Amino acid sequence: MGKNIKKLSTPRITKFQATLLVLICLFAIIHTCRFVLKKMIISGRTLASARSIGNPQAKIKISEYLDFQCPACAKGGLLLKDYVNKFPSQIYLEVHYFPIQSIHEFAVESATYAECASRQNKFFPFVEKLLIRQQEWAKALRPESIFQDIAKTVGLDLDQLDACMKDEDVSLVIYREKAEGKSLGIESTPTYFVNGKIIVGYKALLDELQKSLGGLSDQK
Amino acid sequence: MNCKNLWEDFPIKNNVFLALRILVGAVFFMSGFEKLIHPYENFLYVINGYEVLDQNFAVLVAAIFPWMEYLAGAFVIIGLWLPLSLRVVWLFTVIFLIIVSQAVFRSLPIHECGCFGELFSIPIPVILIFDSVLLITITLLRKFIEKTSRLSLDRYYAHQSN
Repeated sequence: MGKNIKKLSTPRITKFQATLLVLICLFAIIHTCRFVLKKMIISGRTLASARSIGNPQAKIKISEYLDFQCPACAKGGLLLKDYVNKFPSQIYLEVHYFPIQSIHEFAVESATYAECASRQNKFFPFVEKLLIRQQEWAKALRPESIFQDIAKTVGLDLDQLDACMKDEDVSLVIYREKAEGKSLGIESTPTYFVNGKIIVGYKALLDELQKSLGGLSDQK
Repeated sequence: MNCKNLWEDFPIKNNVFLALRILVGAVFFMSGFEKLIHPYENFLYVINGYEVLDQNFAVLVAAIFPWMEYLAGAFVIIGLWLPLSLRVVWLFTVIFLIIVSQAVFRSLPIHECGCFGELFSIPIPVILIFDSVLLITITLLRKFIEKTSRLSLDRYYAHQSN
């Protein structure tokens, strides 16, 4: 019996074999987690609602996740608008909300206004003005008057807008899209999916669009 | 029983380096793990924000570095190849400190370090303090390697070979 116990206490594998075993386990953990996350991503994609523009059969399909108060999102959003205007048949764009309220005080409020504008089919005109005037409202103490001014400029029905701003379903849509974005692996804004490939940041988007379609000043 | 005896009998005295070793390992393990399960482009974006590497090299670092963090962290926790693993995490911490310091010095518009991906959001000044404490801790762990290697696989194999 004592002999058997002694036998069990001696290492059955060498230090190098143990190292190899640990490495295999660690790689397996990561690949399993990635596999599970990928499954979640696929199920999340089917839930995503969209505010879209362009040709649904276009060769370039872009999903944009943005926070309206993020400066790089403003640059990226306006760049995409220019690209969609120049290549309307070649791009299909979906816009999703990803407000980061921990660093942007008015991220949720601006997204709420944008969602209400989308319910009056004025999402893109409203968002364009919102992004152009970002510096102005982001620094304001109370940006509501600026949001209201933009709403008037793009021709929103203000009574409908007020009712929509009080609708709890609007914030549900925003938070659900943010949760979906997180399940897709989004950590910061702006993040884009160009034909399924994740692109993080304005510069990376610009590089990708120039590679796929050429520059905005190029003749096509 | 006087205070000295109480301290000597207290199990923390013997396990403080072990606890610190597991803590340090966990920091690197979690940091690497968080980056690895998400698309590497997120970390690439963070690296590009520091403006120290050209794009091709940044892509390489974004793909490889989280694996090194993750593996080194795990090896520190279980105490396998401990001196080498501690040297690696020490070197990583020095590199973090240099990169974050240059970002502060150049006033780059970085609000948080991106060190732990989505897990924690740590502002730059806090991360400088955190990295400095981490560096001191790892230096101590390396200096007192005998105490640090308590309950490690290295010690287990060393005992077996004696």
